[in-house]
Amino acid sequence: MIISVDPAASRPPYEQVKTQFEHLIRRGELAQGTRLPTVRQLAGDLGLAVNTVARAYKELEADHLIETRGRNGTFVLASRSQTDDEETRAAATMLARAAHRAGLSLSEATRVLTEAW
Amino acid sequence: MWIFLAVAVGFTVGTVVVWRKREEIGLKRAYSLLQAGLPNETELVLAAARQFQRRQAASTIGAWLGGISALIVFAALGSPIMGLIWSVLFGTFGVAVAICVVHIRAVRAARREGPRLATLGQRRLRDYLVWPEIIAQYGELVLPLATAAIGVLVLARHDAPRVGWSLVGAGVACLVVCAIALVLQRKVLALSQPASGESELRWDEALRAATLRELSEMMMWACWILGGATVISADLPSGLPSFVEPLANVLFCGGIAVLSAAQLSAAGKWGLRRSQRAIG
Repeated sequence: MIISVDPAASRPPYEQVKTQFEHLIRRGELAQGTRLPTVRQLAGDLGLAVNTVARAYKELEADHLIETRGRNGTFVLASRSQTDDEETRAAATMLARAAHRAGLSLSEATRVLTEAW
Repeated sequence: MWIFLAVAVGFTVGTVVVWRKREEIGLKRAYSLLQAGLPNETELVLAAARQFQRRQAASTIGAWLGGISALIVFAALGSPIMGLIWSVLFGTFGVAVAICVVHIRAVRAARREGPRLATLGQRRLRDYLVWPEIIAQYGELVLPLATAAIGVLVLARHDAPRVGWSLVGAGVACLVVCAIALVLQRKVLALSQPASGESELRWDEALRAATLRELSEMMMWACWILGGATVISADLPSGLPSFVEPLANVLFCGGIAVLSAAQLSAAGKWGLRRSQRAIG
């Protein structure tokens, strides 16, 4: 699996790194529990400053996509699709509760969802 | 004496032939990697061939240094075993450092501007070498340990201290060389490869695998010569425990069998394809 960075591109390098990791995780190419290269290794390979890669990792961590386990390294926390599933399920529960409160039937709630789609 | 002279002549002729054919050897090694499925791009193949050629030249110089040191020690001490120990010590040390320096210089010289690629794979030895090679690399360490232990047994008998110290010295020297080789392997694993295309990255990783493999082979040869061969060629005093002689034979034969098995698996398609595994 390969990622690339073009220093001449308009987007900052940390964002290029972050976006590529996000895509790989979302597509399931980087499975849950996969160990990522160290910040130093990736920075050396890509010819970037260590802080640039560290920033990308920090933002991915803030998005709950990866997790740093101390000296053990950095791991893929959950695939993006799983995260999305959880968010969608939570939103669906809220919609169902709101529909109950409003006294809507299932078909009427589905119509509301279809209109919002 | 005549045997050592014959070995010296054979060594000199062999290394001179290897020196003269280093270009051919470099090209052959690059083509062998190509057959394992690496991208067939002339520029990359020729760059790899040049690197292999430089390694061959550096290795041959390392071997010559070992030979010269053996001659000096032999002339000073008159001890063929000490000469052998010193030649292997200097030779393997010289070859290991030369291989590593050529690799590191090639990587540093390739620094470039523009887009850069990185692999997300881990850089562990098992990502570059096949398991028989790794088992053999660490398994061969038994040889110098056993040699040093036999040396201690000989020293305990007090009637052949020179032989005892030779064996202990060979074992310890071999362990030092192996420790250096292991440190060099870690350095090679940590080194960043500059690549601006996928083909280039594949070749870079294959060359990293080749360097790790060469260091591993160098370690195994040092273990076999300083471990297995030194014990079997030593004039062991009588009265040692009965298991020592069979053990020496087992170390010698077992050592070369393990070494051959490791080299066969490395030279096969399995070993060559492993060179590319690091980038998936």
